[in-house]
Amino acid sequence: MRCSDIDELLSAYANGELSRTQREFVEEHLSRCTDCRAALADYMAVRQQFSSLRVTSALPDIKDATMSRIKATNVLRKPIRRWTRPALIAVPIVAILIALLVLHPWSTLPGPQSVMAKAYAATASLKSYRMTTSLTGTSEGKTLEQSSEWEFVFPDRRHGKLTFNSETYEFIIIGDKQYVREPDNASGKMFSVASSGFIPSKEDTLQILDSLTDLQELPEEKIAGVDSLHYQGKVDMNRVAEELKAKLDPGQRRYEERLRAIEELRSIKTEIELWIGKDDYLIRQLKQYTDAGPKGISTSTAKYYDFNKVITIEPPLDAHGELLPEWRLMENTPKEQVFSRDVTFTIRGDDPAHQQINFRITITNIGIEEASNVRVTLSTMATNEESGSVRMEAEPSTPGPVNLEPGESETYYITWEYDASNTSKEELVHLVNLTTILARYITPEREEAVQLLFPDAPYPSKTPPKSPPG
Amino acid sequence: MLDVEQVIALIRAGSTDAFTEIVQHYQKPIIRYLYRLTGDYEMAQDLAQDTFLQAYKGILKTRAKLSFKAWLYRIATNNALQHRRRKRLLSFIPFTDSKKSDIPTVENHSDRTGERMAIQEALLKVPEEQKTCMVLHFVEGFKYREIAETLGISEDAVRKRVARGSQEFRRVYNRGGGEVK
Repeated sequence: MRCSDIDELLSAYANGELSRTQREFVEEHLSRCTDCRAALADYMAVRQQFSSLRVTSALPDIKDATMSRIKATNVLRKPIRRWTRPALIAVPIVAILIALLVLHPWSTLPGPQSVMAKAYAATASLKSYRMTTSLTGTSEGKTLEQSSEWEFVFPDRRHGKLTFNSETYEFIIIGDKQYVREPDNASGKMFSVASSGFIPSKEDTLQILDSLTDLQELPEEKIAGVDSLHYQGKVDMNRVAEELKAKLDPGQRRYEERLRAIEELRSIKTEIELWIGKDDYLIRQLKQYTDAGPKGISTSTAKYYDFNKVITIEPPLDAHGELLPEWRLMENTPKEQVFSRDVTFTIRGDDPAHQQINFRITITNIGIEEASNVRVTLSTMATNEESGSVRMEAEPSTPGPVNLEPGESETYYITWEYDASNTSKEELVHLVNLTTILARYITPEREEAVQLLFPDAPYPSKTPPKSPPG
Repeated sequence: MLDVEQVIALIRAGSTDAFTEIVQHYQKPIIRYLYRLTGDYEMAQDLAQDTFLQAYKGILKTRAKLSFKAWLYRIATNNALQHRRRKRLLSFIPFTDSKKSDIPTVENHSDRTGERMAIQEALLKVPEEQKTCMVLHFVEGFKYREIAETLGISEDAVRKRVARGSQEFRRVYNRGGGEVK
């Protein structure tokens, strides 16, 4: 009989895998034990036999075939659409009107040229300012209220709070980085809002200002104590529609829907009132009245102030560079992950022969586009199958195909049995951790895509704790 | 000398061709590894291609908790483990490359010795977990520590699997004879 304690060490000894102490221990034992010397000879024989397997007949060169496959697969990400472009579908009509509100004061209004030209020049040279907006309206029987506060430090810093439906979202944008703080019970709307370009940018609104017609001068008024010139005008929605249409990409999914939404804009009547500071030509206030017929009416007001004041906008990080509580960095370019995920598993059962392994996988679409037919598949080594691994598909909590808009989540479940009679609990946990979980889905461009959900990096994370010695 | 970091940097900069160096460097050991695990020459090539394709897709997301080699072999290992299930489901694998039909399977492979064939056949009967560790160690020359990193298990587990696998292999090879204590 082999000395069972030492047997495993003998194999490792034959393979040169023991530490010096272990080696000395084994050698001491071998000097006394003929059975183990025989066992060692067996292990050395195995080693010898396997070394012959290093030789194979000429192995083929698969370089060309592999590189062709790699190039054929569209593995590099497509350029990400800049999400300052309004996604008209995601947003009710009234919200589009908000976009009209969020203006940069440098406008190219036609009309009283000299005043407007001065206003343009004055605001173009602004280094910072603040604004507030408020909107009330009714749409399809519902009353809507939205308000926001923003501060800007040019060229690329913005900080704002946006409140609607009694929920407040806060944003900090610095260059390419966008941080957001959502309310606790945020329904995930945030992604639609973000992707529809509500975070103000002058490009989105310039074209609308360009479309002002019928400008009239009204009596001067004082706004926040400042004498202001006062103008009124209509927005030429036909022109707005044309310009938005021109920017629409026919290759995009839902092109027809977006086109229809743009066409509907034509029937909207919009009037704008503008107050420009008499002395400095800076826009102080902007009011907008919008009548979208059955779709609703709204009134909104934007006020501008604190021009060129010292405003500090910093990322929401603590002294260690960690995100402050509740804040999150929105990844927008280049996006590597469409889904964020929360994966938990449990192993239950009183009977080792019938252990229940259960996975719960919640994924959220943190991208900017819809993912269709989202399926979650697992490939695990925690299986009694002969092949050593098995592939399975998890079930969504709501039956049927899963389509996730940006911001939407779905939870998937799967349970299977494992006979752990010959496996320690720790080894079982190791095995379960060797499960690979993938999300498979279809992009708006109708391509199949896959994202690795677990482990959380293509270089899988380090192993669970070592087993006890001996 | 393969400089993986440099290749990654080149790929990140847009040069897909840089990945060729990785294929060049690892293709033979990976094909050999997959062949020893599966006993199927054609399948080993297919799986090797799959492995490199998956490696290419994942390489830019590297957070380098494993060495590249360990990571690559882990992908290969998973592919080998999954192939058996695939094999059951597919009754016919179409050949896209006519050259493939000339490539021998393990049954009529022109191995120099029948001995090698016998070893390979016995190896295929060893449980998957143990077989993987044995091939990585004996054929691919991985140290136990490297195997642990590649498979995400402890070194103790590696040691056990190699020891038990070796015993099992001897048992099978000797056709049920030999002493197992």
